Amino acid sequence: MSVDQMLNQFCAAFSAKNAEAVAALFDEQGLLEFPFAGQRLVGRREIANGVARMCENLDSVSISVRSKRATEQFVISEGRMSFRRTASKEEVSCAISIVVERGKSGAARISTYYDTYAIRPWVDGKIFATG
Amino acid sequence: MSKNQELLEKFCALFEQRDADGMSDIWAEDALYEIPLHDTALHGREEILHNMRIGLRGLEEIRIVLDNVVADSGGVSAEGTFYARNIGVPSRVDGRPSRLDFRFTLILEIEDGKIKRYSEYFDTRNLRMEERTRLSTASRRSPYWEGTVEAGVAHYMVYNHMFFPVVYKHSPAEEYEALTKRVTLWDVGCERQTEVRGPDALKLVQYITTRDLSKLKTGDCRYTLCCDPEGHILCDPVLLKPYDDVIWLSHGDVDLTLWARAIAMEGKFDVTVCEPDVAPVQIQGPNSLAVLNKLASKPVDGLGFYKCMENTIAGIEAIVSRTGWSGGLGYEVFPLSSDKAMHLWNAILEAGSEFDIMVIGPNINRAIEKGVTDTGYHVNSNMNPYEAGHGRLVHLEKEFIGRDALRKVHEEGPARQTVGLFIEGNIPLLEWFWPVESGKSKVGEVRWAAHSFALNRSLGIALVDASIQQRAQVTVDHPLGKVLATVTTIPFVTD
Repeated sequence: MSVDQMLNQFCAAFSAKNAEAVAALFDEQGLLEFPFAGQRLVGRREIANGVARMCENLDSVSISVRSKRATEQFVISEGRMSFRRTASKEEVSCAISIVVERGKSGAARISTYYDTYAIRPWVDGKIFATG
Repeated sequence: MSKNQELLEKFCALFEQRDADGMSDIWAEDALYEIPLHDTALHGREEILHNMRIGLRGLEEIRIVLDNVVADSGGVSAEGTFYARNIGVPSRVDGRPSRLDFRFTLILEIEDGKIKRYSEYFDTRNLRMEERTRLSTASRRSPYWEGTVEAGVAHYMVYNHMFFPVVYKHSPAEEYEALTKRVTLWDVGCERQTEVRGPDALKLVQYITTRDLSKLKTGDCRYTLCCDPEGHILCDPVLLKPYDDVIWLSHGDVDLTLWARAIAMEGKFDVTVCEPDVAPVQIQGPNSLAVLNKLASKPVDGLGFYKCMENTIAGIEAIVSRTGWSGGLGYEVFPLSSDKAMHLWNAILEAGSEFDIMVIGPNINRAIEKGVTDTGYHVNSNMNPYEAGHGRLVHLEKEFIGRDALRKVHEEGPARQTVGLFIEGNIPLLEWFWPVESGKSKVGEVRWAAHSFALNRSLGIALVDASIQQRAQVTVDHPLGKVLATVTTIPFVTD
């Protein structure tokens, strides 16, 4: 599978809140960095559990890609992440960049980066207060 | 290496060298710059370079490491790590420097060898500077609370039993720029008023303050002092006389209303003393007058320094004074009720939007340059006005609390003095007063300290023995070690 395909499948699996499908994209000891939710998950088992935990408080989540540049080894993309929290029903949306790096049999690493200024991740603003 | 990748490498090198001007030929005229540290995207080369200069002023020891880079004919994308040290954000007292380190990706769209679009994305883990101050119900909220949360408040201090927003999301360099070049809005609702009302209002205020007020007229303001019977400073309020029989003492972090009320209850004064529902905001900076005039029913142009007037701001009755804590042009607005406080706040933000108004806390970097301190400098030190450098505010010919003690100090000369210090190196946060030593003897303590952007060095204001001479070399013992300092005069900056 190409890094492009891995990226597409990651977005589709995450948007479906399918933690097992997300984990299946990785090498046995792959790394998922999802700092928005404070997550740095290593290995398929930890990734599956971590993603399930991230998704259990969300009514819906969607990750889409609008552009990307790739080599055989990695892809750097940009797009958008939106979600609605179960507790607050608040819609949150921010720009996201995703990097997928190829491993031996799957993704060695998927890292996510954000432009989250509008939702202020570095102060204890509304989004954190509503848990 | 492709030309687009070369352009990225050039940009990174110039950024590391803090050379914003050197970047002028790498941006397209109509470039777009999006990074998570800015409220909105920046448009056009000039705006980008202007903000780049401000941002770079607050950073040093910059290093950009690119791990993964991929380029094509339309641009270049990269993943890497940014390392820098913040200027003006004090180190922690355990020695950890204040840093801005994070992983990132960046996407550059390039046309004709120039950057057309620059978008950056962060790993936000390291950017969450500290946990927000814990709140308790024992302290009050300012009526502008909602606005300060929306503006990204990160830290509060408790001041006059009220949460006082002092740190927002911006870097000190950005806030300094906004204060000295544009306009800023401060929630100083915690700056409480001791209101003295009645036929003997002036008589009581004369008695509890050190400065002669016999020529005080309605519409006047004064910077003055309140002392205890031993002549020690209780606080340094700004006095306002907004109405004929009313005086407000706009005071620092001290229970002045209780003090004044207790004195009034001795029965010698025909007054009422209370803390009115008057929560001010400060509008400070060169464009403050323009912002205020857009909202005021009566023009504020003619309002002199340390004068106040009745006015209506955004439809809300208020007292406006030309006072503040910036040492430059600025105003305070005292709405006569908190009921419409947020309406006032939002109206000021809207009026200030054309000047790119910024919500900030009191900017200590600017205050220290101008030699401006606060009640925190004076209290808990048995400091008298002469030691504080405020002898001119003591008029011994009138009767007031502390006069006998201060007359003695005046005759004998103060034992200590307030001086400025140029402190070597970077300094940590002032969480306690740092000893000042001369030789092996302790000769005083630093009671106020911050980085100066105007002078690009660390400054302190200290209370030291009267024997210490100007230009003397002393040692400051702060949490990161003992460093040299040179005694000087204040203010440090006069423009």
